[in-house]
Amino acid sequence: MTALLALGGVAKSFGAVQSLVDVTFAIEDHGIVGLIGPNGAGKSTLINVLTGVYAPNSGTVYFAGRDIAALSTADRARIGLVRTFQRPHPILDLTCIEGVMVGGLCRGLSQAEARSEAHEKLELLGLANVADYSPRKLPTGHLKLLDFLRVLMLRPRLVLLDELMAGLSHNELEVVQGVIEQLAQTGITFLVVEHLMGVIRRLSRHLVVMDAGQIVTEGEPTTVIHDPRVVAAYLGDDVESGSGDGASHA
Amino acid sequence: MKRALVIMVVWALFASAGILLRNNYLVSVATSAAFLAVWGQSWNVLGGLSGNISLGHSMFVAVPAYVTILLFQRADVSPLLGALLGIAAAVALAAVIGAATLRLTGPYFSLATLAAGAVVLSLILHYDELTSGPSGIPISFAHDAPEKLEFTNVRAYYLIAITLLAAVTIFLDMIKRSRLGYYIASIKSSEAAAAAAGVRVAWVKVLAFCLSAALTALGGVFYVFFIGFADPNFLAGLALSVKIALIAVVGGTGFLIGPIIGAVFYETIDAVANAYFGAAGGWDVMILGLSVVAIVMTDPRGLCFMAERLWQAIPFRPKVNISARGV
Repeated sequence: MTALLALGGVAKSFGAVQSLVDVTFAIEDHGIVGLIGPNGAGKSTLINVLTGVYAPNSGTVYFAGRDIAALSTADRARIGLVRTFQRPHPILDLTCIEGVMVGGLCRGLSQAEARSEAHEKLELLGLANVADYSPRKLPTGHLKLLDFLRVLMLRPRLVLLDELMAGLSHNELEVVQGVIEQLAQTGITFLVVEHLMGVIRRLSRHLVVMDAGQIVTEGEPTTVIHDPRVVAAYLGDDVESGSGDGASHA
Repeated sequence: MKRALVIMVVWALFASAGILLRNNYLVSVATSAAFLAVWGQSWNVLGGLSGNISLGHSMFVAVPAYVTILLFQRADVSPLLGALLGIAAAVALAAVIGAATLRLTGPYFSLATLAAGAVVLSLILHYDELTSGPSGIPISFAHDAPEKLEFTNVRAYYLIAITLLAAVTIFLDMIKRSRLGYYIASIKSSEAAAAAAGVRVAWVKVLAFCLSAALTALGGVFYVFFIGFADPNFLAGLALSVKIALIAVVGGTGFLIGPIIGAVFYETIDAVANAYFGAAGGWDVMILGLSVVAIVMTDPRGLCFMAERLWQAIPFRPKVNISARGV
């Protein structure tokens, strides 16, 4: 079986800073894959390269067996490769439900179809009560969930979640994890980038660790987390003098 | 549809008022205000809905006006057909400028449109064999000829102007609620998030720019016959571009009636200042400048938001939704 997403030797640098050195890995269809790494490891850069925000300096990106180098962000989203952002991106001039509808409209739904599907999605996450409100006064957690629902409206095959869960309330966290597990059952694949290790442990069946623009290791989560290379990546080679920036979240 | 009905009723009221009003000067001031409001409304398609502030919109007034007049006077093409060609020229211009300035946002986009407007003015002034350069082109007529857009009674232009205004307003309301309106709104908040949701940002921006140009051009071709003189420094000047953006912002970009309020505000102050102090002293400009500063300092979102806040401050107000804001 060909992988849903396959990266070969992807590199990206900004001036002298090499954010991605040589990233090669694949994501199989179905399931939830975790991606962790200390701050500055290149996780967000990787998501930006995958979604076409940045063009890589070298390397290949195949999605569903197709080279997607020439596709724009919007076209990648339309063929099922979507992402969410670390910080919420509400559509301020639309109501919450209309903001979610945008994804459905891009899938080719009529306004009425998009509205009723958006309503179902809002109910799924317990947000139906804010459907007709402006997002201007909603808390961050709600806004992040609205962003998530907007891209779900595209019926994606692979969803890249860039720290979706950071900043959510305990209840929201429970609901979202449930929804992600449920969606994974229906055949949507997730790449979950998180600092919250509880989320990673619960959701991911496969864990990828990045550090300094490279894949350090990948495999079964509990094994990976205790891998000495992963501990070193988070705490520094010399544990005594390590910054522990990522470790405080972990 | 309720809004369209309200707009048509208001249109009928203003139409009858204009016909009954005996003072020609007041009617022509109202006509100027209506044309200005048409442009403010058209500007809003790009500036208000997508948040891209254009400071070169007078080119979409000048280009179709010149195309229409030149075709009429030099090639005897009916102004009605000429107007269509003029609007097409404005749209083509917008498509080229839009495609070239796509990646620019915020002040960079504004500067680019400002520069484009300056280029258009320079071209009109430079190619004087074609355009008569700085001396402009007079349009003189003594008889009514509707097929040539020539009317001796200023009320005809008044009716044309307020009809265009009503049509553009209804159209803007429809755009806001359309698929395109949702795409434009998402681009305004975040181009990155819009693209992530599958919105083809570049295409939507160019489309909004072209629509805005087309509507502005529609006002432009009728306006030049109302004024009866194609003055390049006015039609293609920076002053008009700024005025169009200014009245939309001062009125309140979030409101459907924002540009209309802004245009009435502008023309009223302009007319009153000219009547009391005379146009020569520059009092009109000074008073306008000070009022704009005062408005922006009170509430930068404009007059409509100020009115809404005042309304909400009334303790026992009747439960009427006066907000014409199209969320």
